[in-house]
Amino acid sequence: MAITQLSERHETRKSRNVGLGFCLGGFVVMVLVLSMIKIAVEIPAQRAAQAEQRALEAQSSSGKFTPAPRIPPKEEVR
Amino acid sequence: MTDISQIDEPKEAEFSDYVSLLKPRVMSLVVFTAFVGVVVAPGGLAGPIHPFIAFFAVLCIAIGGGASGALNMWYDADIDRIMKRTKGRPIPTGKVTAGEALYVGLALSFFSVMMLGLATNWLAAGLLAFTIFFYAVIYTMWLKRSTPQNIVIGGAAGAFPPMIGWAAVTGDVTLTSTLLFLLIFMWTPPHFWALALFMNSDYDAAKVPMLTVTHGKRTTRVHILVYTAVLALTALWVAFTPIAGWAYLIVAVVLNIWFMLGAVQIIRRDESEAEADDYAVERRFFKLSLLYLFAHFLALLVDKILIIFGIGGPL
Repeated sequence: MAITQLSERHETRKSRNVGLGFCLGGFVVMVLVLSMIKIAVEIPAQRAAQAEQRALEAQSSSGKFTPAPRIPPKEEVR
Repeated sequence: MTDISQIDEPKEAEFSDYVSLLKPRVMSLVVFTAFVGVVVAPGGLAGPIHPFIAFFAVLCIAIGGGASGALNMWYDADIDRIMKRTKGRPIPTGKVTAGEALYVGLALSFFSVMMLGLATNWLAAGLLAFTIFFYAVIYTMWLKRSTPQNIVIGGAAGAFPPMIGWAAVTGDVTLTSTLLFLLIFMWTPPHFWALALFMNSDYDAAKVPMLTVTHGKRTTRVHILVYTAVLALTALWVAFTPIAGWAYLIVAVVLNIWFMLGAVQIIRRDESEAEADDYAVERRFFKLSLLYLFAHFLALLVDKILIIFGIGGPL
């Protein structure tokens, strides 16, 4: 039997099948891109911030440097 | 004997029918206001989140908005069949069953909230979940059929998207993002009451207690003017936040004067006058309200671009 043979259902539901296919395909692509961005950009940034924090803590515990108290972010509305 | 050829075949839904379950026109407003919320948030264009994640956040907010639309259509299928404005929707026409709409709504709600939380932060996701709950449960199931204040309180659901967009970028809710919320919140009553003035028979037939049905059109006209005045004050307040500049101020002044004049025109008319011209003034005011909201958010976008190019800045 030919693999390309279509049933009546394929014809009547063509729009739904194609639409759903595009939605699911788009979802997979998006999650893939999102994962790549998280791995390439956000995780290295987090690691850098953690390393910086550890360096500050090490300096402060050795008595060479006392970190300034954290300044709260400026209120963005005047 | 029944002629079998006369019996309607069950209608097969097209993909577009499922898309219309999500109320694409309402979604376009959600997308635009959420996008502006993302862009005008501190560091929105070149800041803490990657542009793709910002795009993904807007998409999740749009899907969440669409999901609440599907849940609304599921619950309101009975009155949608009665109202002229809504009887062409997929459930009243028999293309999609109410059960299907419920499943689509629930699945997309879960998906959009989880994806937004994973992609950005859980404050934004929580706000989106609350928005869907507010629209589907508080507004649709409770307020819509029980009080003439339905669209005043229920309007909050449509007002959240810029606040969610802002929270997706900053992980925070601030006075400025609350003002963006308030701008849409105060805009909703005059917008829907203008619609109710010329679609009153629809709401009356469906027994939806809109202000026009419960308190009459005269009271509704007064309410439109009062809310328009409060809206104008809110819109002008936004002009003095760090996200707005001269473009916004000019748009806000011009459009609020125009909108107030429209509301004054509405209150000065009586029913015989309105019926004589088929509610021409009310229809114009309704269309103006669409331009009003779009222009205010567009102006914020323009101001942000001007700031980036070093031309503009806060007032």
